[in-house]
Amino acid sequence: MDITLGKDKYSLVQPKLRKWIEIEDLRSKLEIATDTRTFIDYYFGLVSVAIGISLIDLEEIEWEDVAIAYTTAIELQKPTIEFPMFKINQKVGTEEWNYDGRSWYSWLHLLAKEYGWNVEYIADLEVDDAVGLLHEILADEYFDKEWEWGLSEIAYPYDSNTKKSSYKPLPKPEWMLVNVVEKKVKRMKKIKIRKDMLPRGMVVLWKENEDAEHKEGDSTIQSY
Amino acid sequence: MRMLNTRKAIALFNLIEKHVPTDTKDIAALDFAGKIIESIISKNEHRVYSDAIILMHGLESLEMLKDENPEELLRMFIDGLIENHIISLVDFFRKVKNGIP
Repeated sequence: MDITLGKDKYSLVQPKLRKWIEIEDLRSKLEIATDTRTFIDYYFGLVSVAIGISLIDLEEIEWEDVAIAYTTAIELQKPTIEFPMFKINQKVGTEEWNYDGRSWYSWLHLLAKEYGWNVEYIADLEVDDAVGLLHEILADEYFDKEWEWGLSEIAYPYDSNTKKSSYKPLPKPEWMLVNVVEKKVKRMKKIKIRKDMLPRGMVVLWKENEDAEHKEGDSTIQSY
Repeated sequence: MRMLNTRKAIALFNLIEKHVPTDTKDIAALDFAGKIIESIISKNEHRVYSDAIILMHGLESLEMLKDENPEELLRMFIDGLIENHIISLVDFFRKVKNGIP
């Protein structure tokens, strides 16, 4: 995607993993910025990292050019695959021992530990690949824990009513349930209503492609 | 007069955001300016009007507006809003502040 900032033109492509994480961090900070000064710092920081332009140069450029650059950068942040883990609100870095820039080291640690890759290789990964691999690492971790859980006593709590122990599955993390919840919401339950409780009068069903005709002044429905 | 840089655009946004209608769809620039002025008057925040003119025209102080007649001030205010694409400006920074890309 090409953009113009002041007199210069820039060509933008989706960032590689390390830059992508840096932009995501700035984006989260921007969302919670409470005063104008920090808001501007993070806003300029994000555009500067995404475009590769200095903060001083950004100061002089018209707001609309910077806004277009920001919007383009955010658009390019989206992975091309719809990963379930991005459908949930994640609270990252709320621990007291958290530090600035930890997200990158957290990704680096997980990927290096699992695959033995070096820092440069991981930093240069495509975002889709990195997120897909992280998804698999976390899924593997869950299945390992589930196996261990199945071997322990706490997985079989005693029910005093039935006088038996039954298997209680290990609770799944939120991101693993996101698609299940979405399917449930989409699949609306059919509820039967007694005929005498339905609204009286003629029910006019709209056929496909008939919307436009009705909007242009057909008052058939209102007249009944 | 030229379009403001980001820092000044955000200052303008902070000044007039609460006076800008929330629904900016299908609204003409003149009506838009009228609604902003109506709100400024009803909230008795006349300083916002002059501060916005000073900001948009890059003036140094309120003194520089002292000799202008009300029609000229209104023209300056509306020109400033138009030059800065005020509808897009408010809409954009509202979205960014609310975490909507």
